[in-house]
Amino acid sequence: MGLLSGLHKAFDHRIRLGIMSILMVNESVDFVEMKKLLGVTDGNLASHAKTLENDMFITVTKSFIGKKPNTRYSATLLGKKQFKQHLDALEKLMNT
Amino acid sequence: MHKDEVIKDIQEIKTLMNRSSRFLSLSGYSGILAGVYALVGGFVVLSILQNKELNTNKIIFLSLLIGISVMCLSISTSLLLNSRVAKKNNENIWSPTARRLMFHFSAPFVSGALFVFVLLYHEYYELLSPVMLVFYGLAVINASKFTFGSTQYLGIACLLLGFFNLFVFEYGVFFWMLGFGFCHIVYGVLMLINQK
Repeated sequence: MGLLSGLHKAFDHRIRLGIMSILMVNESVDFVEMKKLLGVTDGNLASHAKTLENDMFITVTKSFIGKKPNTRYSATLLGKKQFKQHLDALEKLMNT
Repeated sequence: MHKDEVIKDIQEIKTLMNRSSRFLSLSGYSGILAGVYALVGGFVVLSILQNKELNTNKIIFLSLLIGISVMCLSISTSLLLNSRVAKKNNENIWSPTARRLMFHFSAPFVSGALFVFVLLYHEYYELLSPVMLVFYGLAVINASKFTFGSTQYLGIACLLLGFFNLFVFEYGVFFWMLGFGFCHIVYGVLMLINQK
């Protein structure tokens, strides 16, 4: 198994890496909180979240709190597993 | 992938994980002040105990009053100073991370407070100081997962002091002053040194 094999293409972008990192240690995070933590624009966050959702690494739950729309993100088991593999691969690379 | 990129990625991951799950806007000064309040309160209780004219009930009542005052002062000082630090860090003292911290601290803390009141009701006065130290230590250890991890050492110190106190009831006030006073001052100072 090569050193690069654990790395996943989906995480090869700072914002997607950030989204997964945050969702690894929080059950669910809403759109506003996520945007604040990453310091990105609405559109940026939405499009990268869409990519991760298409890969089935995160779930996007849209609901209403009263009249206000609320979007929450959660990592799936698959997403957590893949991200952990990515982290392990990164740490292996760091130790070479 | 270059090694520097890898290191940068890992650092970014760790930072985001911490920032999203831990409330880090704590002020070292709040620890120091809480410790000072406790020491002052402790000395007042010691001088009350020297007073032969007061009966046990009055002593207990006054000590309780002092204990509650120290606690209220410490909590309000801490809220005030921490919200200032939070504002500087562009954080909010009512953010999800802060509320999580407060909840996980409160569960053992409130249980301990209720336990203390029951002890007062049963007049088990020797257990007051050990129980306060043990429950507070547990509260801090529990909370350390949601703020600086180093906080757990403060919790462990109070926990141990509480257990030792169980074998030397006569020195209850001293153990109380050590845990709530001295340990908090040391912790606050270490925190300030670390932040500089």
